[in-house]
Amino acid sequence: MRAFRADLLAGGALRGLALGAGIAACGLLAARAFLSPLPPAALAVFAAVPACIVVCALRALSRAPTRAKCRALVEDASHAGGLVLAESLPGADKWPRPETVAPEIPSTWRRALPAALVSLAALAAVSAAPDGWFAAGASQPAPSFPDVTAEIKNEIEELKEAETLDAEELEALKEEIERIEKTADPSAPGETLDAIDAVREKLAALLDIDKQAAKKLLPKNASFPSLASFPDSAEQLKKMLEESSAGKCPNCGKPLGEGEGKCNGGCGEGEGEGDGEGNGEGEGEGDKPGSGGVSRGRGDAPLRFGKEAELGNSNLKDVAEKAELSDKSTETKIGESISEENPADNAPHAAPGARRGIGGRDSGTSSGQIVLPRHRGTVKRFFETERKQQ
Amino acid sequence: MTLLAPEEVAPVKQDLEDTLAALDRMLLGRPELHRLVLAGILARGHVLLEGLPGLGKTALIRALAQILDLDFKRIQFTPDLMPSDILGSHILETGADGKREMTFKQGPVFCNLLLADEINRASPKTQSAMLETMQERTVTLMGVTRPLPDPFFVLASQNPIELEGTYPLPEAQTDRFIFKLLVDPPDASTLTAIITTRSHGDMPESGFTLKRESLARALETVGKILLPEAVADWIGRIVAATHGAEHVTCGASPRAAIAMAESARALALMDGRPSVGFDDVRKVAFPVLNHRLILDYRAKLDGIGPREIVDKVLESTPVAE
Repeated sequence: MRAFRADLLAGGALRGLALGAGIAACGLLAARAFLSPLPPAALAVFAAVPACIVVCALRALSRAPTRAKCRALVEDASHAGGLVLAESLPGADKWPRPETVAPEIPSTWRRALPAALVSLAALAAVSAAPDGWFAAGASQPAPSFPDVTAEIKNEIEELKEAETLDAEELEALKEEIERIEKTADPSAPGETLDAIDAVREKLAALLDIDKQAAKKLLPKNASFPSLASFPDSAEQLKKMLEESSAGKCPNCGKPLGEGEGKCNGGCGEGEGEGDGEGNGEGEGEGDKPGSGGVSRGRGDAPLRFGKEAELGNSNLKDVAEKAELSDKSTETKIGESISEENPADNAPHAAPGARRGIGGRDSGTSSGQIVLPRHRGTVKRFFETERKQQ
Repeated sequence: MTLLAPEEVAPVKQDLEDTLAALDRMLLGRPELHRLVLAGILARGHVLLEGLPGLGKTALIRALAQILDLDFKRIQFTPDLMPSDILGSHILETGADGKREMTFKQGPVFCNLLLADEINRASPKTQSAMLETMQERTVTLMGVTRPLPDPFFVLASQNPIELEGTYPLPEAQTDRFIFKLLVDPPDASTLTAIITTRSHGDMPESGFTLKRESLARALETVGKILLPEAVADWIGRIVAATHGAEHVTCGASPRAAIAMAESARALALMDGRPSVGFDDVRKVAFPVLNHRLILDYRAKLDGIGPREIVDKVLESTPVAE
């Protein structure tokens, strides 16, 4: 009976040990693989592993069957007719001692021993394994920030070439960004990004100082004279335009009509009174689309709407153009302001994170985002460089 | 509590073995049934025998009455049987002095061993007359309660077929029987032995009589058999488990737990042991619970009987929790 109870106790303790050691081995393996070298907090956690194993063993002891339960199990297995249960009573010694049989319990210490040994061996192996085995995890290439740093470097180089800023200061900034690039800590990318932002701020501050100095050079209420003030230049400009278009309509690209260079193509450039000889039979009413360039006999022939079947026979379909697909390259530039920019106005075009390659500049999601104060310098610089390139 | 000494148990065991041997000689082929009937008597319980006609139910009880040196009476239950036919009644008698007075005439129930043959043929009114006698072992008439002789056992028989003109025993009465034993038909070898050794099927003489004193000593010794706490706990859990068992509408009553414990003690004594084991409980579980479980309609549809329910309950209730 004692042997049976000891067997149950040992089995429970070994199962607890196997569980605790197995969990500790797995945790240590994961920590060494991904967090090598181990941070102090992880080391403190693994220092508690022995305590966990002790707790598991104590828990196994507390859940072990009581002496009475063991006695009942042995009695049932032995078919002793209650004599095992009455063993401790006075008068039991007068009866022959029953032959006891240990009940078949699926979880004895023999069954738990292999698992405990395997778990302990795994824990020992993971603990004793050299650091080189986990080199793959430890020597992972530090995440470089090529996009960000290269962009800043290019910017600095451009500023250097433009000679608008002090070359020494720009060189210092370049060295700093290179130093950040070298000492980038992969485990703390946030710190690296903050350092890069600090460099950007410095660069933005230099640009700001330069801009203010330029503004001081301009007189107050300065305005550009209109083109009408220079008639000779206007005539010259007109001639240049005609030559560059080589007798074609600058709008639709079709040949201009005789005389005053009116367009016969129906693009609306003509005055509507042209004789249209330049393009065959069409007497164009240039202000009405379709009646000028398309050959339908005489120009005074009645328009027949609903004959779009000719187009319908083709593979083309009339599809409404989406707003975002409109070609902005054809938009007319109507002027340019030299007043001081408000970076917040330009925020939708320079989404946060766009310069880090996160995306979102054209995704439409950035239009409602607010430019953080620390990014404003970057946004300002973006438009500065864009303007210079133009 | 001290265990009985072997010298206290051994003579009782010998008496009981002799009784069983005599019973086995008189009635062939049913040693287990005989053991259970004797265990029921040792547990001071009433036994209900159920079986087809001609299987020897009445013969078994008569044989037992011969072996046990007890006052034996027999009542053939019929639909017109009245309670007074069982319990007795008051009659007007004229005394020697010429004075008339009501005198109580005892019925056949005033005996030690009562054979209630085909008990389910009596009307509910008559059957209910047995309730007090079986539980309290007393008879109350005209405001006077009279005790029955000690010991008092009712051995009843009933027929599971020919149910026309019968009245099923109420649950209150079946619960008063410690066992409901099913009498199965004998096998071919037993039948051969019966027809070759018995002329006209008559039972031989018992050749052994258990003295009243011996029976009293056996009944007293049964009460001294140790019921270990673990076994008692298991019995309690078994009976409690019948209440939540599948296909069971009503589980067993506390009488079932008492009956199980007492009859297990009797079996232990018949084996010559001073204490009850788990195997004793297993042996008496079905006879005790057989007639105490009320099954639902699904059990009938699924063809599940009390045997399957009891087996399942025993299997699902561990001896140690």
